[in-house]
Amino acid sequence: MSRAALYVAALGAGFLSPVVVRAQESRRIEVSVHAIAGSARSRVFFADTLEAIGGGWFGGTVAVKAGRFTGSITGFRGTLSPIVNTSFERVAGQVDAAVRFEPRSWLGFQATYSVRAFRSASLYQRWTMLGTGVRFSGPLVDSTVRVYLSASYLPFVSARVEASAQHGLGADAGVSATLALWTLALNYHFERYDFAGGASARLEEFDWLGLQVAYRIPWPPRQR
Amino acid sequence: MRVALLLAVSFLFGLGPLEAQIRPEELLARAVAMSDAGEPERTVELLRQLLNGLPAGAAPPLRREAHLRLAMTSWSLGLLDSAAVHFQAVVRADPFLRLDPDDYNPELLTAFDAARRTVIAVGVRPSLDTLVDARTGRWQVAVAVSQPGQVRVRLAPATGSGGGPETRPVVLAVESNAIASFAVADSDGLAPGTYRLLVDYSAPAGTAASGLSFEVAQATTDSLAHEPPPADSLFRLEFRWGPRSRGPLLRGVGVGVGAVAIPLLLGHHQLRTGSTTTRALFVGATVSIAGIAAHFLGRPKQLLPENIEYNRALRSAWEERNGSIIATNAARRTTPMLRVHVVPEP
Repeated sequence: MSRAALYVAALGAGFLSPVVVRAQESRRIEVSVHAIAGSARSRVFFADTLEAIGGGWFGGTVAVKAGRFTGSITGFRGTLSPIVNTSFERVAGQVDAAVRFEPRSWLGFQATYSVRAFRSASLYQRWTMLGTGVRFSGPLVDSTVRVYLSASYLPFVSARVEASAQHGLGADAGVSATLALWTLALNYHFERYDFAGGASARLEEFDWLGLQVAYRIPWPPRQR
Repeated sequence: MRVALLLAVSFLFGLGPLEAQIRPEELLARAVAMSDAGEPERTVELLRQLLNGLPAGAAPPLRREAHLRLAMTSWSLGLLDSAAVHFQAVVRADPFLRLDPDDYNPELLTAFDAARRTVIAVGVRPSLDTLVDARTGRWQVAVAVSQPGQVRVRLAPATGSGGGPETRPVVLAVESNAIASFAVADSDGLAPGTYRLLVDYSAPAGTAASGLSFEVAQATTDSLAHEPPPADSLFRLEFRWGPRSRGPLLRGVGVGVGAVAIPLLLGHHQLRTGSTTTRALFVGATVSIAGIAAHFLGRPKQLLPENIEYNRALRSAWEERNGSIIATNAARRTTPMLRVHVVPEP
């Protein structure tokens, strides 16, 4: 990220902080922990060849929701086995840091910072991504069952691969059901990456389908 | 009611048998029944029989009631001297007794008052068992006299009780009733122990005395119990089921279609595989089915703000009352209390 962008971000945060502080007054803080079990796929189109790997994708999230803001840290790990045109099994891991602001119950804006790495006997890839996106959600019947759809743009993508990454696009869709302090969600996450030189240089996608169980811890505890 | 009370009191005090077969309470009940049946002569006979047979330790309320009924019945028969004697016995037994002008013949009231003026009697009636603030509280005693006069009330430690010195007497000019109060504060009050309440009464026609024993002890804090939460039946419904709407259906199907479209719209066609489409389709179908199920099976909740506010007020009032109880308990815990209770005469 350029230094100018950092300055702009710091300046924006400074201007927004009074609004944020006012919006957060007298709001409760909720901490939630999530467990995710799913299946991930990584597909690469390189040198006119499609390589695909996939396998179990397991992770956990710790999220803190304070009023309209939610901050979360998510970690994943999985072993992705060869599917098409490759014989190398890879161990993959990912860490996401995300901040979401929800000015309305159905609308949210989010920013994410992700680091993903693939490692095999003969390969090590590290991806760093910065993204921003919008998320729409709505209740089915009442707020206990909600559906959501989000789209994000990843303007900064850095990957230690043969081609130079330019940017990426991402999307999420899913449904969640909340019962008391527990939430069960089914989520589909998709990302595509574009590289300098277009399809002739390299194309890549990464997606995962996961089932998520979350437990919400109200803080401070409710007084009777 | 009065008879029932007498029966209960007499039972508690363990009256001895009046006659072989008839207990005093039963005899009094018979006399009352005779009086109600318009048999005054028989009533007088039964009451005299009752009073003659009463043991010395008989319950004072029973004796007083028998004298009073005998006085009134004698008065109704024109036995005025006999009535006066029994009215006097009533006043001696209970100087606090007053006849309600709304319930009795004015001439009978006059006879009662006349009998009262011929007797020298003093009565004392304290709280039988009470708690008093050890710093500021006062113990109050009601005094009744048969004639206007001067009453001198004082507290003295019972012999061998180890209590403090005798208190300064409270001197009252009493017409018929008065209240005497004694400080129990530490400075000039009562240390824990057993005391005698001594009452000396002097009227132009004579003097009388009365007294009783009581005990002063440190009291443990008597905290109030917290109020239980309001019963569920007191709360009102906070929502009702609204009519079915197409919103959930549209949202569910829309997001489902969106999930299916994600890899189709964002993905590179060179990378498109069956598994990717299948996974998106699975999520899309799940979301869509959830939306369809919500549309057909569920109905939206419509909140009822008035009821919500009512319930909130109900809960707040309960919390406020409990808060008051907590504050009261906290204050009580910091307030030293003395228990003052009357004990049987030694």
